[in-house]
Amino acid sequence: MENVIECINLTHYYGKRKIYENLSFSVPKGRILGLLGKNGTGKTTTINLLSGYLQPRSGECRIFGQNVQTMDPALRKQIGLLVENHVQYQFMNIEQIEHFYARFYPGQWRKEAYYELMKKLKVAPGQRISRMSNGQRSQVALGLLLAQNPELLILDDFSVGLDPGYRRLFVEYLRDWAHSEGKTVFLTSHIIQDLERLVDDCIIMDYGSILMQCPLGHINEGFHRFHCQLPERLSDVPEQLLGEKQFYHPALSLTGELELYSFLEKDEVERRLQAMNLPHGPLMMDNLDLEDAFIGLTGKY
Amino acid sequence: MRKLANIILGIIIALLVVWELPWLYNNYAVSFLHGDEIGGQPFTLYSGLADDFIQNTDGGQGRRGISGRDYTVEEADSLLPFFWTTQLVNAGRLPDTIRGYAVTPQLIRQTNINYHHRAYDSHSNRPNCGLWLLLESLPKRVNLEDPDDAFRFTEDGIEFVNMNTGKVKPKKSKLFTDALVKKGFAFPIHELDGNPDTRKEYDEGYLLIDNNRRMYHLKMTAGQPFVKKIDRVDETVVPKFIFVTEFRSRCLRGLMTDENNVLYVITPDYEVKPLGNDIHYDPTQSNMMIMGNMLDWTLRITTEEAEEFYAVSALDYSLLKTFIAPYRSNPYLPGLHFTETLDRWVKPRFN
Amino acid sequence: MFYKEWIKTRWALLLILIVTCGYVGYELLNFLRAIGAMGGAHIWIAMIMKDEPMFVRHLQFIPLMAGVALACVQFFPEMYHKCLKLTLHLPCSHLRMMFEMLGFGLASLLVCFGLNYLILWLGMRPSLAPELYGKMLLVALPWYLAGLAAYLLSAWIILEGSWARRIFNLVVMFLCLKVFYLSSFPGAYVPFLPCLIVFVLACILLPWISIDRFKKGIE
Repeated sequence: MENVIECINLTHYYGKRKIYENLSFSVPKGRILGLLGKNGTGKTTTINLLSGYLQPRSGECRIFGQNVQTMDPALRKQIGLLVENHVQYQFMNIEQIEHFYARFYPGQWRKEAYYELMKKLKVAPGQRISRMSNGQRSQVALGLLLAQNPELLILDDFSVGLDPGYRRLFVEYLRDWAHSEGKTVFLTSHIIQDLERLVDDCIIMDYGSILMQCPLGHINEGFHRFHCQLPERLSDVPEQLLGEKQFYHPALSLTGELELYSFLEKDEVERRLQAMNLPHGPLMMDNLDLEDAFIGLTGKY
Repeated sequence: MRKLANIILGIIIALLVVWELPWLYNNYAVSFLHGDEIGGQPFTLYSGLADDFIQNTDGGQGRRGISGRDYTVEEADSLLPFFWTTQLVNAGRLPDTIRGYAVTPQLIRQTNINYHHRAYDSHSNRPNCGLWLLLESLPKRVNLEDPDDAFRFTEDGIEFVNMNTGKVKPKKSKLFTDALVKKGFAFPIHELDGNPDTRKEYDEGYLLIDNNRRMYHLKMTAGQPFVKKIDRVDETVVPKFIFVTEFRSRCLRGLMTDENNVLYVITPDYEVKPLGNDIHYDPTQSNMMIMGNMLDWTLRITTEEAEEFYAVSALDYSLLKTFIAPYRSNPYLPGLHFTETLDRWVKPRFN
Repeated sequence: MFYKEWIKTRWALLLILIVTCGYVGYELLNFLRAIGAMGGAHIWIAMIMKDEPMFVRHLQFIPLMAGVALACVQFFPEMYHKCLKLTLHLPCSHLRMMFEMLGFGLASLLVCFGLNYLILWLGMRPSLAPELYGKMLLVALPWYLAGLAAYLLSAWIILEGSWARRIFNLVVMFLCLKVFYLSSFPGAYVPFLPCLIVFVLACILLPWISIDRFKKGIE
């Protein structure tokens, strides 16, 4: 499958602080990919590198096969970019901003799509964006992206400032639009439930590297929480548990219950616990939603 | 394009550095580090009685001759009676005769001269708007009066413009142009000097150098042009700059320098005579001050290399004494400058 | 691009136009009052004898302030929440977009300054000789060039993302603008004007340094 985004061996530092080293990933055409990671793992950095507003120390980002730093300007017509905080030109009103952008995207601009969304906003056509609420501004920014109708959408924290109803509406709209027209979307969000309804694939970032990149179903179906009671109160998690690579973030609760996350089958977890000579009560397995799975994979802290 | 932008920024920063750093050093550090080397010569005046240049020392408290002799302040007052006249009168020490010439305080005041020319006043060293004022040199009342017209030199004449209406006065323009042409004046003008200030005792109009480098005197008397051609001292002396002096004593018409920067006087009867023995003065590069009396003058010419003092006789313009004081050292850092003390232009120069 | 710049700056431009023309009008009024009170001849003599920027003196820093103000109005919104990202994401060459933005600002200032000059010229022409009003128009020329330079240098500073570099740029701007105010002797700048014009033209490229640094994410 053709890759729309390719990031190859990205290394970036802020001063002496390493953000990541030799990070590589790609996004195939027609997929919606969500970038998940705790604060400070480099989500916005990745968006900035992708949109060409940050030069990596080494490595390169390619979109539609071209290096984003030297890309043909005309190619940007096919890239919709939602920048952090859904910023748009504050000094324009909703008509002016549509009028302004429309001239840059002849042949692809979908004026109706924009005004359709704006109708729901209940703002006067002459109202300046600076006088709108955060949510309204976000909707203007999203409306403009949909009007642009690009092949690739890059959305930085798209759900910021949107109320639940509109968020849901937008997620559904975006999913249908992307899937029906074969568009590619690369996005980040703080609200993981939104991603669950939207993305096909996800990349989970940890400090300095990618923890995993896989289809969402792989996590939904294969990643579970296991817990069991330990007979004796332990003050610390046993060493052998911490050493097991397939167990994610084993932890003891205050009541002495052992909790861990894993992609392994229940029987296999049981077998490995026994192999460690760790006496325990009956092992329970829970299914997880994406948010729980994210916490299971990255830890609470 | 990034490279070009950075090159431009680099050039701008480099220019600012070679401008500002030497400026900071020259303005603040030099007086600390070389304070004793940068001061010019103190007030210096030639005394005909002592045949010596007498200088102020100790910030004006002492007097010393360049001959090496020290004078008391009182001695120096007596040796410079034309300068310290009021002091001597108050002390009752002003003699009746000086070197055989009868003097009175009034006569001294009448015959003392004071003239200075700064390089930045030279026409090539400053922008000129090209309009001049010609006073009536024989005013109906005692004081000189402002004119109601200004004039400009055109390619082939002189043009008077009414200052209240802005309209050219064709009659007066023709009258003056004809008067100049009649005396052989060749337009356009090469150089002129005049001092149309009404706060002076009399008006000499303008001294002009025409396109053929001939000198003329132009003034207006009773509304009529007065034009006088001034003969060269000899044909090899080509006038370059000319200066109206308008001394109270009327002892000169003006001064002149030639192509070789030799200084001449123009006497009241329009004779051109060398001043001193081959005193060189480039009015575009040096400042000149003349302080004189009925018997002798002290010329102080400040060039880039030295301060030159010349004593000349006021009677026959012969050179009496010379004192050249070269600057001890040049502690100033070279750098980029936009302005100079010698001219009024703002332009880049490196020195 | 011009549309965006126009929407962004139109009120500020109107204000700049009113203020600069207001100042010019005020100076002109003083001039006409002086002519009325003292007569043309008196003013002519004063202008011939004195080498001062009579009747335009108060204009000295007006173009400079106009340039800085326009740059602020035009480029602060671009830097607000890094709005410049939106501009740079438009499907046009970045260099072209920068030139269009700066071109718009320069053209606006030129129209405004041109109008100032026109008012001065029309106001002084009936009562003064060309030599005299020329003297006044010439003395103001470096100030107006300073206004254009101040606009470009301010854009360079505002578009810069790093504070340390902004301060450095500010020092460079201050020193560069000092060059335009070394003398108010009428006509003193005449031999230097071509250099100043070249300098102003060269300054058009400086904001590119800031934009380039912005694209690299240098803050």
